Amino acid sequence: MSASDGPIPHVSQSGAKTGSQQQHPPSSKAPPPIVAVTQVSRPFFTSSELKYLLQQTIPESKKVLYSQKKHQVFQFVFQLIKTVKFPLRVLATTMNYYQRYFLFNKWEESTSSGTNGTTGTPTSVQEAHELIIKQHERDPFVIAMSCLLLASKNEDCIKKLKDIQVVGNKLRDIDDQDSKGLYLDFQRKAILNIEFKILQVIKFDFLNGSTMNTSVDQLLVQFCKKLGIDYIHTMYSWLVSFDIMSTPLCLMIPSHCIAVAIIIITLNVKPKDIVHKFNRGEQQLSSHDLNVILESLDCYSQFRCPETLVNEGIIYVLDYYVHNMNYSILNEYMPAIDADTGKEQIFKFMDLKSRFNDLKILDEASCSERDMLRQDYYLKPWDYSLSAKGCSRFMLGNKRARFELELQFEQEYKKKKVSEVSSV
Amino acid sequence: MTGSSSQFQQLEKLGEGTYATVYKGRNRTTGTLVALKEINLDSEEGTPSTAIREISLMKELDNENIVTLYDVIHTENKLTLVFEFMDKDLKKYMETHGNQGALDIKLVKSFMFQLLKGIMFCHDNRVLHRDLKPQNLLINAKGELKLGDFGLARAFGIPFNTFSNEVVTLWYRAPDVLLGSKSYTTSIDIWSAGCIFAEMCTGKPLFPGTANDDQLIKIFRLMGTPNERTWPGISQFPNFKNNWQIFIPQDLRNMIPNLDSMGLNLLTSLLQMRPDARITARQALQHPWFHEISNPNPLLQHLSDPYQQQQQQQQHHHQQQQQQQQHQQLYQ
Repeated sequence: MSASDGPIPHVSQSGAKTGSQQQHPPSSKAPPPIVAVTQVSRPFFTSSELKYLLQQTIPESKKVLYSQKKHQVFQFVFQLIKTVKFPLRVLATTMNYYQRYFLFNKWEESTSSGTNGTTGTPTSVQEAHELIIKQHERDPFVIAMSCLLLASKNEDCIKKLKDIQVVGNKLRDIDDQDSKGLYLDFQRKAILNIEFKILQVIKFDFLNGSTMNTSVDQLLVQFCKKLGIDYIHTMYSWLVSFDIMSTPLCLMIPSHCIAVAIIIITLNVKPKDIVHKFNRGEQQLSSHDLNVILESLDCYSQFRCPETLVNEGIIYVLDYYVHNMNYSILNEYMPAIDADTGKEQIFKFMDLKSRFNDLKILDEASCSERDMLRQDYYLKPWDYSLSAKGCSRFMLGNKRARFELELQFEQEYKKKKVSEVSSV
Repeated sequence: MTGSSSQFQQLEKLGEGTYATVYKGRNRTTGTLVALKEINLDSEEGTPSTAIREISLMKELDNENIVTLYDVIHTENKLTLVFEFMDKDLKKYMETHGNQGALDIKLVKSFMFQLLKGIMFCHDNRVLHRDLKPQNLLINAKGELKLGDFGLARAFGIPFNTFSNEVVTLWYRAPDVLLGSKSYTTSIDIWSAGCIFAEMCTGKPLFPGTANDDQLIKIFRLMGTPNERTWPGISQFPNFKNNWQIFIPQDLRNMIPNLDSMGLNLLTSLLQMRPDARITARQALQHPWFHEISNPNPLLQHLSDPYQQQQQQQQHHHQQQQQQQQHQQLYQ
C-alpha cells in the first residue's frame, strides 16, 4: 500500500459505554472489502445479561445437567491443580474462564472424547482427524484443561501442556498412550483451538477488570489483616471465598468487591466453633470487637469498592448459602447446630438475608428487557471465523481516548464524501 | 497484518525477538506511527506465555517512561500487539550517536533519570521487569526513554516461591540471581540499571560474561569476591563455592574515568553486591546527581532536550562542513 491511500473509514462506535462490537460495512471505494470488528473488553455482566447469554448457549432442559457437569469438571480441575502443584489462584482463574467460555459458546452434552458421537461420515483421513479434534473440542473436560493452560500462563506458573494432558487423562482414567501418540496429539490440537477461542471471549483482557491481578482468597486474607480480624474469622471468610470461587459471581463484580462482601457477611454472622487445626491458642475477637470493626469499615475509602457492587456480592453469597448450605465446603467445617441460636447454620444466612432485604443493589433498568439485550452487539454470538475473513481488534479499555481521534477522522471523511457527492 | 484487512498498514521490519517480529506500522485512519509486534504461535504450547504476560502487565502500566500497548489485533492465525512507536533502542542509539558507544554524560543523566522513573513506576505497581538491557530500552525522537519488552516481567505482589532463575540476560543479571536466589525482588532491576549506567558512560558492557560462573567471576573481579563477612548468609546460596579466586574491590573511577564523583556515588549505590544494600529506584531518583533535573534552578537555562541538542549540533557540524566545501570549491 502506498502512502497516498489515505484514511479508510472502517471504524464506528456503538452506544455501549463499557464495550462495543461493530461489524463494519464493506467500503465501496478502491480497497477490497473490509470485515473488521473492534471490541473493548467488558469483564462484568449484570445478572440479566448473564441469564440472557446462558439462554442462548444452554437449552432450558439441560441447565441442571450443565450444573452437574460443571461441578464434576471443577472437581477434576481441583485435583489436577493439586497434582501439578499450582497455587489456588490458578484454580480461580480457570473457573472464571470456563464459565465465561459458556456465555459465548454452546454447551453440548458430550461423553468421553474421541470415542463416539461423531457426526457425519468422514471421506478422507484428514477429515476423520478433524472430526476427532472437533469431538475433543466439545468435551467439557478438554475445555477445562484449555482454561487451565491459559490460566497457568497468565498466573506465571508454567508447565508443559503435555504434562498437564497426561496428568488430566490419568485422573479421568483415560488411556492416552497409543504407539503414535495420536490421542495426545488430537487432544493438544483441540486444547489449543479452544485456547484461541477463550482469548477472544475474554477479549485479551487478562486482568478481568481488576487493577491487580489477584484472586479473591488472597485479597481476602490481606483485607482481614488490614482490618485486624483474627485467624478464626479470617478462616471462615476464606472458606466462604472457596465456595464462592466456583460460582459466576466472578463474572459479575470484581474480586476486591467479592472479598469485602464476604468479610461483611462474616462480621455479621460472627461464627463460633469452626473446626480447625491451627492457631487454637489464639484469642478470639468478641462480638463487640467484631461490631466495632464492622462499624468502622468503609468499602470505598478503605478498599475502593463501590457500595452497590459490594451489596450485590452480599446478596449473592447469602442466596448461595440459603440454597446450597448442605453441599458447601463451609458446612464441613461448621457444627450442624449453631451454639448461639440452637438452630441449623442455614438459618443464620436466612436471617441475615431478611435483614439485608433493602440493600441498594445495581439498577438493571437499562438491561432488563430482552429487546434491549438483543440490541447489544457485545452479547451477540462471537463469530470466530471473522478473523480469517478480516480482522478483530481488541482495545484495552484505558486507551480508549485514541479511539475518539479515529472516530473524528471518520466523521470528517464522511462529511467530505457527502459534500463531494452533492457537488457532483 | 496482511494487506488492507487491518486497521494498520505494515511498513518495514524493525527487529526480531525470541517470540515475535516487530514491524513499523501506521494507523490507516489517523496516520499515527505504531510498532506492530507479531507473535509467533507455538504449535506445541499455543499462545506464548510471554505474550500473555506482556499484554496482562502492560495494560496496567500507564506511564510516560513505559511503552504504551494500544491494541491486540487478531487476523487469520496471527496475533499482533500494537505499541506506540519508538525510533530505536538504546543499544542502536549508542552505536549511532555515541562516541564509540559512549554517550555524553548529560545525556546519560537524562536517560538514567527516565530509566529509574520507569523502574519506580513498575515497582510501585508491583511489577518486576526482570530483563532490563539496552535492547529493551526504547528512545524516541524527543529524547524520551521508555521501558519495553515485558515478556519476562511478572507481578511480584503474590508470593510464589518458584521463580525461575533463568531470566535476566546474563550481562545484566544480579549476583544474587547468579548465585541461585529464587526469592529475588525489585533489587534485580536496580542491578541491571547500574550495569546499563556504566555501559552508557563507556560504550562497553560492564560485565560481558559468557556463562553463569564466568559472569560471577567478572563481577567479583571488579566488585571483589564476597564472603560471609561482607555478605552474611552468602554461603547458603545454591551456587556458592568455597574455592572462588579472591579478588579485591577495584575503584570504579578507573573503569569510568569520564563520570564525576557524584555519578560514581550513585553507580556504587546501584551496583551493591548484597541485594538489600542496593538503593531503591525512588531513593536513586532523589540522589544529588539528579538535582539539576529534579530541582532545576529557575535562573539557569532549562535543560534542553539532549537528542535535539545533538541533532542540532550534528546539523550545525554538517552545515559547517558544507560551507567549508563550498568555500574550497570556490577557491579551486
